[in-house]
Formats: sequence, structure tokens, C-alpha cells
Amino acid sequence: MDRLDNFLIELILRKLPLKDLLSCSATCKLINSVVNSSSTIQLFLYNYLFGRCFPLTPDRMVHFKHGSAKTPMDELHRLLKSEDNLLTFRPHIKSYKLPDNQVVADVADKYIVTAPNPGEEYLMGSDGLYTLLTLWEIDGKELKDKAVKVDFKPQREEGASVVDIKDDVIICVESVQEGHNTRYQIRVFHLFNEIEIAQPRESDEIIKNTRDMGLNNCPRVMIGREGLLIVHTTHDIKWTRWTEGKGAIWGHIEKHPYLGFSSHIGIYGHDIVAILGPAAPHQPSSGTSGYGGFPVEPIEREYLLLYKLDDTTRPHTMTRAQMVLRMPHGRNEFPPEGRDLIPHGIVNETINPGRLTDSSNGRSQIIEVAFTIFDEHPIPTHMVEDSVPWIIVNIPVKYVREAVLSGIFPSRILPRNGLPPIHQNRRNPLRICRMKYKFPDLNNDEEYALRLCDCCVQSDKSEEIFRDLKVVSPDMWKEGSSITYLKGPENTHQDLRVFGTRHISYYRHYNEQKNTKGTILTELYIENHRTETGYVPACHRSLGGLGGQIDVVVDRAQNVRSAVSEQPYICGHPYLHWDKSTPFTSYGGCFEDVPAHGLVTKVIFDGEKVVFEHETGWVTIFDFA
Amino acid sequence: MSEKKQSVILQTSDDEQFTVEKVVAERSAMIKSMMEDLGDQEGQAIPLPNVSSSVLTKILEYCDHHKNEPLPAPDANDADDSRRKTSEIGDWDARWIQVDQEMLFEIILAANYLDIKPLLDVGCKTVANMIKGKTPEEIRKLFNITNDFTPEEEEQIRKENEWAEE
Repeated sequence: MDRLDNFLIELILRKLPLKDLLSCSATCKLINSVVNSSSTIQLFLYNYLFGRCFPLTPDRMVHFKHGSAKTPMDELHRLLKSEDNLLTFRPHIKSYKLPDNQVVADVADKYIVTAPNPGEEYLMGSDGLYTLLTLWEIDGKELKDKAVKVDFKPQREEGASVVDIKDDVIICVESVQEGHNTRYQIRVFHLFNEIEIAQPRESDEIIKNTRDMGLNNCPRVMIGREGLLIVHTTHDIKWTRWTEGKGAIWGHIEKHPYLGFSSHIGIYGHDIVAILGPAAPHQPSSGTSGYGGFPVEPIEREYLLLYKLDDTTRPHTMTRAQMVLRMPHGRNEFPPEGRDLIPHGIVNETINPGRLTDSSNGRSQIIEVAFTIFDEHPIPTHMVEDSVPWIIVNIPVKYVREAVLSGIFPSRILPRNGLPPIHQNRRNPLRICRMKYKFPDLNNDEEYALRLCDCCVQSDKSEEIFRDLKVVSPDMWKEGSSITYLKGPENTHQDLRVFGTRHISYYRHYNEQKNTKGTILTELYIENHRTETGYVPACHRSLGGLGGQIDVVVDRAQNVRSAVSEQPYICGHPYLHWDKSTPFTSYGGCFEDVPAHGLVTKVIFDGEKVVFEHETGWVTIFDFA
Repeated sequence: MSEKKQSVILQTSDDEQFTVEKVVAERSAMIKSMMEDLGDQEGQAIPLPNVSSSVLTKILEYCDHHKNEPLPAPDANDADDSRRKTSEIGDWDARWIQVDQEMLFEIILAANYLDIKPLLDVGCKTVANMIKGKTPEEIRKLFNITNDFTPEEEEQIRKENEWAEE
């Protein structure tokens, strides 16, 4: 091997998968230096690790020029450090005052991106409306105004997202009036570009909408890895790679009735798209029935449609859902451990439309669906604690990809024996009901917790079909996934922010004495998921394979006390698991004397920083990096 | 154009001369461009000072087998590296490249020198396949690599690479 020069060694290394590449880099200095100096290999590593949304070409190295890391290895070290620090809870805690009328839009690397206040987003300039996004550099003691302003002219549209920020790329939609048409122009900005005002990269596709048809909704834009751009208009879901610039070819994703504009779209990696929304299993007929053309009353079910995009099919073939997962509905479809959290009365609000969360923390990708249930718990004593649970379903993307690629459902997410029995609904076999629960026997708590309602069909017998695809019911896919119940906010001082594989929740303890000093005791919990199979919580290493062993702490109260003295505490919550081997841990710590700046209005957790935004315009940053 | 197959003379580092069909020799982009430079000078040997006769014999075997395939486009480089698809080595190639390690590296060096992209690819893939699934220690043993890391450095690298161990 010593006869080969660096170029040939690199050629060989480029043929290796990640693990072997790293093994090679650990053999000797020469190979190690080749790994570290080859920009192709480094970009591969980097994309593998962090999945930045730019594709693998050297000119995308701008991030390293302007972000805090200079090379992908640097970036890796930075992340390692932040994960170590998360584990031992040693963040830098800083508070900054944002300029008036600015709110935090997102957090990327060591930057905070702010946007104008809701309601004041649009300023009148000489050539019409515009808004500004500002990039703030978190630099040790100060929040430096990096003044990279992203200036674009947005469409005034209630509730529609006209901007998507991912890592170091911002996508905006601008509207231009042209007679009766509104032209929408998509512009891509790079956050770390050398010039002050980020310029659009090769943009744009024009979407025309006739105003007089009342369809002038501003398209929603979303970006994924490798330049994936999805545009969601009222009648169409289109996708392309923005890196192709003006010559971009657009593909289409099949839209479904009932999966309307309100449905959620999530992008996972560079090719998996998930759409979550209520759906009806039948085609609407052309004739008019009482149900908008549907033969029967559409049953409100939450479906997760999964699409794998294929670049080669782009201009011609409509991408159809390759997999349809139904979200759990009846109590019986939730694991027994959490069933007592599911309302068991007549639910007025039922399950809130779930929300999809993006996933990657670099190592594991998870499609996350978060539900809340708004209802009063029938047992009065459970009211306060459990009335508003968050139900978080985690489906590893790798299972989805595997299943879609192989065209079959992988065996490991097929049900094992010993599934909880689900009763057949004899009265209405087609309906999977989540609205009409039977009242439980309230006199027996234990019976209550274990009781199964008889209104839910056994889903493997129901043969739900959605557009020729067999709908995969929860007892089929839950094996490879996990479902978590989290308590909902008890008051305004508490919130929950979900970030992919990690959740964060916090409590702020107002203490009279502390309050006079203008500080507060903040308790942070971070919950972490892993996607590996065969995972056993007792012997795992936390946070995606880093750090030491996590001990399961039983006596939480005691550890809360020790956490106050800057010691973190870590606890496993086995009762929160669907399955005892679910890759889930929770740990937290307390921080004293955190400046109190009033009510928290927003919490952002980007995997390494927790940013609290206060209504007074201050932000408090717990920076673990 | 004569009926006789056009041929070219190649001269190896150990001064052995090989008369080779042009279509075979043209597999090498380097020889091809040399031939173009030389024009029709009959009997003019092309010197290959970096290639020994044993390696050239082996490589000509490869070129002869693939002589009827279209030449790769000159700029068809490794653009698809990002996907890192480990496309399979063809059956014949796989059998052909079953050589000892010394010869394998000679082939890679010669393929690089002679600019035979598909062959270089096969060679690199073969080495990559040898590496796959091995620990650093096993790789060192395989290729006789001396570990020149200090224990501290080694520990550091091990730590850095830990995240990949899923």
C-alpha cells in the first residue's frame, strides 16, 4: 500500500462506506491525512453526518468559511462537544435583548435568525412590501449583529409559511403582481454568503395563479437535503432541486382529497417526503353525495403518506405514496402503558391534527408525529396532570426507506406475538372510531387503565385500502417505532418544544427570593431517542452513541436536589416506553440564577442550543456547544 | 486502410517489446494520445518506463477482453461519488483480478499511469472490498501498515470515530 500515492489512496477510500473509511483513517498517519485533506471525502463525511441541505460539491464549502467550523471535522468536534456538554449540562447561559419588534425565527449553527414581529412582518418600502430577516452571531459574551439581512418581498398570507430555513439556506417566496395573475418567485439565500445581503442563488420557478378563481394562495415552500425543494400550492405539490437553478425540472407528488392545504408535509433527508393529514379511503365519485362526492361519510383518520422521490422520474411520472401508515386512533392502538392518558369519554376536540417534525440529529432520522388531545379526563384526580398529553410517535426513517426500497414491509416491523388484544367492533366494522368511546368503570382504577374499549376494530382484519395501497395499521408498524406520552403544558411558564430525536421541556421555578434578584431557577429536561435495533436502555451510551453510560435513576426527587448544585441528573423513564427496549432516555438538570425576563413565548432547541424567547424581547440562550 | 489489423509496439521498463492490436492498446487513454501524437510511424515503439512486462501482460489481457466495449467518455469522471454506490465488479474482471497484493497494487499504479479508468476503478474496488468490514488493526496487518500513532492519538481517533458505530 505504501507504493500508492495519496491520489490513489483517496480513490480507494472513496469506494468505501463510512465505517470502513473511518477504520482506514485510524490505521496510520498517511491514510489519516488523506482522509482529512480530501475535500471530497470530507464533504461526504459531512453530508453523511449532518445532512446539510447543499449537495456534495466543493463550492458548497462556503459554510466552512463562514460558519463556526472550518472543516467538517471541526464541525464534528463541535457537535461532539455540544453533546458531551448536553450530557453533563454545562451550557453557557446568556441573555440578550433583541431589537424592538424582532422575534426569533430559527437557530442555525451559532446564529439566531430573527424576523419582524407577527403582524408587523411587512414594511412598506419604495417598491412595495418587504420584510427583513436578520442573522445574529452568538459569539461568547455578545450577540453580534452580523447584519446579514435577507430582504425579500413576501406574499401577505395568513398562516402560510413563506419562508423555510434549513441549516444555512433560506428559501423565500416573493409575489409579483402581473395583471390578473400573481407570479410567485422562489428565492434561495445562503446565510453565510460573503456579501452582507444574501443574494438569491440560481432561483426560480414561477407559479401562476389566477386571482379571479380565488386561488391566489401563496405557495408553501420547504427544503430538504441536496437541494430538495417542495412547493405546495392549493392544487399541486411539486418538487425539484433548487441547485439546478433556472433549468430545474419539476416533479409532481400526488395530492389527495382531504389531504388539503392544512395537511402537514415533512421532508426527511433528500428523498423521503411524508404527508400527514386526515384522509378518506375511497375515491370520491363524480356524482354528488352528501359527502362531497364520497360514497360514504369520510372517516376522519390520520394517515401518514410516505413518498420516496426518484430524480429519474421527475418530469413525467406523478410520485404516488408508496406507503400509508395510519396513526393510532382508538385507545386500543396505544400501548397499555399510556392508555390511561388517552381520554376515555366523549371527546369533543379529539386528536389535534398531528404535526410532523424534522428529524435528524446527524445520526438518526426519525419521522415524528406529535398529537395532543384536548379533553377532560374522566377521572377527576387525573385532570391536572394528564389532561393534555402529548403523544409522540417516532418512526425511524431508515425503516421507511428500507420498506419502500424493498417493496415489502420489512420483517422487523411486522408484529411479534403477544400484541394486546383488540376487540372487534361488531356494530360498525369499517369504522375505526376515535370519537365514541365507551365510558369506563370509574370505580376501578386498575381496570380503567387496562380496559379496552370495544369500538375499535382489529385493524389487521379491516383491510383498509387507500388508493390501491394497503393501509398499514399501527399494530403493524409500531414495533419498529416508539410512542411517548408527555405531559402537556400546565401553565404558561412551561412549554414543550420538539426537535426530532430530542425533545426538550422545561420548568421555571419562580422563587420569591430569587425573583427579587431578577433570576429564576430553570429546570431542563432533554429526552433522547435512538433508532438502533436491539437497543437496551441499561447499557446504552446516550446521545447517539456518545458519552458515558446512563444510570437509571429511581429516586428522582433526590436527584433534583443534587442537580441544583450544578449536578445533572439523568433518569430513564421505562414507564414511558411502548416497549422496554425502546431507545428512549430522559434526563435533566437545574440551573440557578438564570435571568428572568418575564414570560417565555417561544422555545427553540436545535440540538445544541436551547433558546428561550421572552415576551419582553429578551432571549436567553443555553448554549451547549 | 489495410485488411491487416493495425498494431502498435509497446516497450516495458524491462525492455521487452509487445506488439499489440491498436484497438486493444487504445483502452489506455495515455497510449491512445501517444499514438495520435506519433502518427503513422511504423515500427516506432512506445516506451512505458513505469510498467514491467509481467504487469503489462496482465493488463493487456484485460484490455483484450474489453476491447469491443465503448471507451468511457473523457469527462465521465467520478461525478457519482456522492452516492458511493458500490457497483459490482463484473464476473470476468473479478476472476481476472484474483492476483496477489503486490500485483494488485502494480495493476492500480499501471492503470493510473496508462490512464485506463475502468481498470483503475476495478482495482480500487477490489482493494476497497478487501478493506470492508475490517478493524484498523486487521487493515494494518493486511497491508503491512505500521501504526505510527501515539496511544493518545489513537485514542483520540477512536473517540472521534465512535459515532459511526451504529
